[in-house]
Amino acid sequence: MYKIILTLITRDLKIYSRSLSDFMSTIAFMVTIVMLFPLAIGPQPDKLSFLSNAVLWIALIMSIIPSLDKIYLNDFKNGWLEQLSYSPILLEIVLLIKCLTYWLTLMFPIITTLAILSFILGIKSYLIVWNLIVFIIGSLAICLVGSICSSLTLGARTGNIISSLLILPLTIPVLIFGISTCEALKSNLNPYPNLYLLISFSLILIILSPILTAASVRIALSK
Amino acid sequence: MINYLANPRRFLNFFKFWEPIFGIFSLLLIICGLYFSLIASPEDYQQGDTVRIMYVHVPSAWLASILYFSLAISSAVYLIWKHPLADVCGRSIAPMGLFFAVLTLITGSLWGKPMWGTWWVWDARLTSMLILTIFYISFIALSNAFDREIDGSKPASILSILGAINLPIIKFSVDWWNTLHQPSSILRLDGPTISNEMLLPLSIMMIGFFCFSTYIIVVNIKIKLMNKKYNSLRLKSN
Repeated sequence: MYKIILTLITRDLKIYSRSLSDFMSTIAFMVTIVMLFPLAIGPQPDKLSFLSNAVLWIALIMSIIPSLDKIYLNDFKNGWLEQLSYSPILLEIVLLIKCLTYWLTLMFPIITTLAILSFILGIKSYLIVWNLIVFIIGSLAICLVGSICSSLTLGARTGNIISSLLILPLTIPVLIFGISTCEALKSNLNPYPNLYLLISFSLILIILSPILTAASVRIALSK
Repeated sequence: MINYLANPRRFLNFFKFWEPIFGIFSLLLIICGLYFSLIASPEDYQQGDTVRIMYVHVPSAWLASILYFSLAISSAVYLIWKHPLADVCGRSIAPMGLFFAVLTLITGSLWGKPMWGTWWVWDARLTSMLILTIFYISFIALSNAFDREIDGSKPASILSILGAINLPIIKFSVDWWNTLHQPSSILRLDGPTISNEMLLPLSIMMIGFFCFSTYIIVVNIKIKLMNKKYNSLRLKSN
């Protein structure tokens, strides 16, 4: 069991390590989104630091979403998912492992970039570590929601745009709780209630997301 | 009842009789309700004539939520029993629900401009209604995104059940958060707080809209079933 899980993880990590340019473009996309805000609202530092949390959260969500197709789409096309569905391990566990591996791989570049971007947007340095923890938890929830939605569109004609459309409304709770935590930190209020809500939302999704993902992957495989 | 209607042929036979009745009823009720709401009902002491927007706004908002609820139920029925009629039913409900959700947003903003001084505010009720609209759109998009139409049914069903989390948020948003949108005045534990002269046209419009949406949905289902039959006959004859 552990051996199979380890094999799954190393296989995914190998694939990701050989497609680093995809991750680079995700990061570049994120930086570009953040760059658009000073151009759109003007470069005044006080305006920017007022909006900094919102800008970072929107950049995080918008840059993760287009890349989420990568978790299952290639494996679905080349038949790897179908092979896995016949294996003795539950498909739910396999898919959860794939999703978590993707999230962990994505975390390193994204968190580094977010740290740099926070400096650029003028967030106070003692807040950045806190913010990064909130971003890590929030991005876990986004990846888990995204795994449901990208598996729903497996085999669709115009998968990419539709899966983005599906993911965005479902990320609203993450956005609300995440932003509230960051804003509470910024104005020296108690961040824990919203942080706990964000963590509980992510934990609920760890249970719920593999079940729904596996259901929709089975549907896609039966076509 | 539902078991009886689950057979497409019996469904068509049943609604051969009931469909025009729903149509005529909806026409009569909406005309009658419009008379009562636009002419025969009193002005609001605060809002004046603009309160008459309510007679379209409230029924369409209710129907948008009720139709989403029935969409989620028919999706669940489709996922559990794999009944083809439930799929057709869901596909026919979604455009109607989208229509009412958009109607709610439009009439709401028309009402909001004179009353609140703004077309739109980002409070909980309005935002959750907008999300409902987006769920309708994504249901329609996802159910039509596949090369074979039937492939889209199950993913779209899962999506619509996922989106049903939004319904209680819409219903209770005015109680949970302090919103500009007024709290509900009809479905309350301590009875409606609306005066009877306004409740009457509102209920007439409500039932009229309900009959109207049922009529359109049944016609939609009929068209889709006939299309299916036509396609299978054409395949047979080839």
